[in-house]
Amino acid sequence: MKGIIFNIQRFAVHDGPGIRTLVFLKGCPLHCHWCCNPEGQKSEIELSYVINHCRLCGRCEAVCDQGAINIIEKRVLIRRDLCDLCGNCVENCLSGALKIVGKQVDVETVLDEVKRDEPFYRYSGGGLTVSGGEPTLQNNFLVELLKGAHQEGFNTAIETSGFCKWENIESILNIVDHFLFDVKHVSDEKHKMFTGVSNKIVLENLLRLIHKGVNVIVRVPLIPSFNCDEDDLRKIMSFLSEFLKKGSQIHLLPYHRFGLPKYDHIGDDNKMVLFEKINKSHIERATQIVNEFNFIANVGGS
Amino acid sequence: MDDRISILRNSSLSTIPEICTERARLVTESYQNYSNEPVILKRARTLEKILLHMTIFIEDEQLIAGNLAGKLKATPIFPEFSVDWIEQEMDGFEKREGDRFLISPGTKEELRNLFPYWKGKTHYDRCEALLNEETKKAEKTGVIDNVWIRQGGDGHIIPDFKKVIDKGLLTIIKEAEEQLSRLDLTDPKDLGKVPFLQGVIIANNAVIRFAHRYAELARAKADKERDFQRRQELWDIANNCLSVPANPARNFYEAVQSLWFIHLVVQIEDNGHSIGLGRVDQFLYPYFQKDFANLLITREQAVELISCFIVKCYGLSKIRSWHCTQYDRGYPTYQNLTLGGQTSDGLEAVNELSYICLDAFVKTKLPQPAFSCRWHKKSPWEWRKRVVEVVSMGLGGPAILNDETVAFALIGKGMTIEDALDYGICGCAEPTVMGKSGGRYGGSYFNQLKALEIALYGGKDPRTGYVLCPQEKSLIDFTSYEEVEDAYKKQVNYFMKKYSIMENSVDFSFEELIPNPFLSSLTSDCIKRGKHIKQGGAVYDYTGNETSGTANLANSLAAVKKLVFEEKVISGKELLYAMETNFEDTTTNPTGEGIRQLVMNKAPKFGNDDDYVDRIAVKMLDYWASLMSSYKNTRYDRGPIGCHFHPSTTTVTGNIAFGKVIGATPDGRKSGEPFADSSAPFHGTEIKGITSAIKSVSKLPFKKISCGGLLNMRINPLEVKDETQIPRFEALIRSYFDLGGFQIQWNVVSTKTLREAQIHPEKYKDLVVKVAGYSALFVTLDRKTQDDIILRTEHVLK
Ligand code: SF4
Ligand code: SF4
Repeated sequence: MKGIIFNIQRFAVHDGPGIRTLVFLKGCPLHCHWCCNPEGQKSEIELSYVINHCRLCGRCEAVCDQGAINIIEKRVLIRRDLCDLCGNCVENCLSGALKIVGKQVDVETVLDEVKRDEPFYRYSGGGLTVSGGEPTLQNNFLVELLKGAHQEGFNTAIETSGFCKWENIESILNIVDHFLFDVKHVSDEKHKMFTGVSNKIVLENLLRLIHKGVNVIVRVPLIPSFNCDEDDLRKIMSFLSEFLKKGSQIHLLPYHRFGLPKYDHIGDDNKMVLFEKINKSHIERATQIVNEFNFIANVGGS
Repeated sequence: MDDRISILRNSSLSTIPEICTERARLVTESYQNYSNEPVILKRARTLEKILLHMTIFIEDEQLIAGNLAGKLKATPIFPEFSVDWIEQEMDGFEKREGDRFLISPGTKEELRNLFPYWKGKTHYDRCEALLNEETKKAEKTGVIDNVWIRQGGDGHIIPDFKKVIDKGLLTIIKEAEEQLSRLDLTDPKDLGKVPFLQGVIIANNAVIRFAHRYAELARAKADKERDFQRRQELWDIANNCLSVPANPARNFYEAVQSLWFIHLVVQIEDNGHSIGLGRVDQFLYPYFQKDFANLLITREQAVELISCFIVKCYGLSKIRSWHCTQYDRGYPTYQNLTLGGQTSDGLEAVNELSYICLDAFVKTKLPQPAFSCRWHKKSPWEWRKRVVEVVSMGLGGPAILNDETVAFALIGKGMTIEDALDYGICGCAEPTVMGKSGGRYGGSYFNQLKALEIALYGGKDPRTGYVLCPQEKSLIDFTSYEEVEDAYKKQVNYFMKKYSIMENSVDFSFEELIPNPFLSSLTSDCIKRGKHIKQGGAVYDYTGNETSGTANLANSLAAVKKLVFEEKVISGKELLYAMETNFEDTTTNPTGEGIRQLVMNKAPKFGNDDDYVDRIAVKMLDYWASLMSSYKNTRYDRGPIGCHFHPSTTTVTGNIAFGKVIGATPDGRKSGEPFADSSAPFHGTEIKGITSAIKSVSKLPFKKISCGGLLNMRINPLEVKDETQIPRFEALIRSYFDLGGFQIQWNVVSTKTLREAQIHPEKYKDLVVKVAGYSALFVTLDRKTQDDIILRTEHVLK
């Protein structure tokens, strides 16, 4: 069973209990304006170019048979329409400025990498967290991966936008210990505007998931001018309070711009929309509102 | 109470160390007076002379008495070790970029008058005479270096504090007297023991009289004191000094005072640094327990007393030559205090005093002494949690040690299980047994990366031009990777021979010129054998070492193996040329910088849990450690167990000093740059996160690295400040230990803070960082060392 992943990050501590390994599956049906992993959006592999590492040596230009590379104005320009992702340029770039993002791998290979941190899961109660993109998009691969991890005795978690068929979620119900489930907004209109999709199926899936009695942690990305107003947050919390137990943890994930340069790396024209920077008072207010609804706010997740 | 500690702390922190000539003058007089005495008696008489005549004082507010030199934080001079460097450098002491010392014109004048007597008579001079030209040349290449032990003393020992506290020096004197009376003086063997045993008696009596001087001083001060409470305190000090260390301590307070006197005098007798304090929470515990049960002391008072003790330790200072300072930045004295772990019968050792000592560490926030906390598989959660909490405060400590690996390594060196489990730390991370281990756990530096450089250049050191161990081939004509490894091993073998000659020459000089009767009397079985430590009086004896460069060595070999021999993307000739030109020639194809990028990006690096390069690191370190352990020291066959060299991966700041003598290396490191510190990956090359870095390091053969496998890591404080992260941090360390780690220590400080401290040193006067096994005040370090610490990869718990 093969899937496409774009990163494995070891030693993650904000996405589930303990010390974890994050596996990022490529491809996502949403286009959140604040997305900090744009390289996770497309399902296909991509060529990435990091200008800061480039020494303008011209080796890539020389080896590209497709003529897809030109060095113009002190940077490498990639004609992505011509590029067939052969990887020649990557191999010849000594500085590591060119890289292929995304790789087809089989479940065993991923599990081997995950197993490498087994000693660290033991005492910390950590394990595997599958993230993305939207992991359920590669559902068969996801199922095999989680199964494999469970068989190893690792704790498993998944980070999902919830935007998928219920069957996909159902297929992993028994092999996921923690669902980290994004709730971005309760207003469908705003949701559509800022993520490109409706939230109907998301909220429906959340309700069904909670009724199944599994371990769900709701994560709310705090995006100024999208959902940071008191009103917006109250609406979200009041919606959740109808079926989420008192004392449940809510992860608040403050907006950041660290993903910004990555848009340039992969030549993504839908440049990241820049929101106002988040400040202390945003976070404090959000925390307060979460607490008002008798939930426990956890900023940054853990 | 808080006031007392902050007053003491501030006055010590704000005092710049100063040179004091008293000791130098007294030693010179004594050597002139006793010139015809056997050396051991001369040494005992000299100690006596110093202790009876040096200036003594008791700091205001301090509860413990005993000072090293004429003023607070002043540093004594030890002319019997070496004088040349002092003479040459003293005009610059005040102008140093780091580790400055004040020196008055009068002091200089007096020293200049004293030095002529010492010309040609010092330990340094003797070593110079003992070392042949070739060995000196070997040292000049920078593969090996032991200047510090030629200029200074050996140290690296934990005297038997417990014995003194429990039984008193009078018992030791009695033992020596009994031993004397048992000798058969017609047996020349016995006859030879007489001076040593007499020396023990003289030295120990002198220490008792030294303490009595403080009793008198305290009494005199009390008489003049108007403040009632302080008068009472001075009376207590007087009583303590009258009673200990001569007699067994009667309470916790006396036990701490007794401990201090011993720790202090050992450092007046000899200038060897790294005098360990041992397992303080173990040998002081019965006293604390008794007093606490009898309501004679509160927990707070115990914290205060230990804090006073810490401030006293911090006040000890030592000057080194500029050459040696480069290996030991930040005024280190390498005092180390060990807490927790298990008892010699394998039971839990953590007690209330362990926590009290940690509380005092938090309270005093001083870089010296370093704290080492022992963990083992069954250590209670409370202990591990508290240790990690303290680590996360970013005070530059404590270091954490893994009993399972440390004890195993010591047993491998011939220690009994009981002794191995009873280890304490001296120096940076060197495990030793209090009162039983002689020898010295600190030794010469060995620069593995330099040995590789010479091997790649065909046996020639490109810097000095020396060809000491010729080779037929160089990187230009090696035909396989195996040939590279073989050439490296050949160089290592050659330099190891020189290394052993150098180390043992130094020890012969020590034995002949600078025996230490007092320290020896606190090390069993010296009295029983009638021998001082340097003659083989101790139960165990090893000669330690500091080695460096493992990560860069492995990275360099991996680059050569993969790129030159396996993938053949570059020839050995091209690579060597790029090294020679420091990766700067722009006319080659690829350019020098291109080749540097190639070796940096396309070859695996140690610290990413990549077996390709990790195996090379393990193999090379193992080879070197086994080789080192096969060499004997000068006490071999003279009584002690062991008597071999004893490998460690502690670099201290040698990674900076040694980096200066190595040209560009195949891992992409440029000429003169520092290389990786201790067991750690090279900064910037560990890109897969902290667990991968830790896994790579954990593969190293620590069970053979019996003299300490130190690992320095840096983590952003934001990541551990949150209480919920403490268990994760703890789990991380425990996992490292499960994997076989030896020791780990953390700098919990962000790059931002360090940069700011460089710009505004005045605002960060007490920012403590871990440099090597020891901590230092960041702002007292020179720029290069500061930069090296900043460059160490800052890990974030993402
Ligand atoms: S090969 Fe790499 S470094 Fe050279 S121009 Fe292309 S991207 Fe830049
Ligand atoms: S991946 Fe291949 S086709 Fe695409 S730019 Fe590089 S060399 Fe050209």
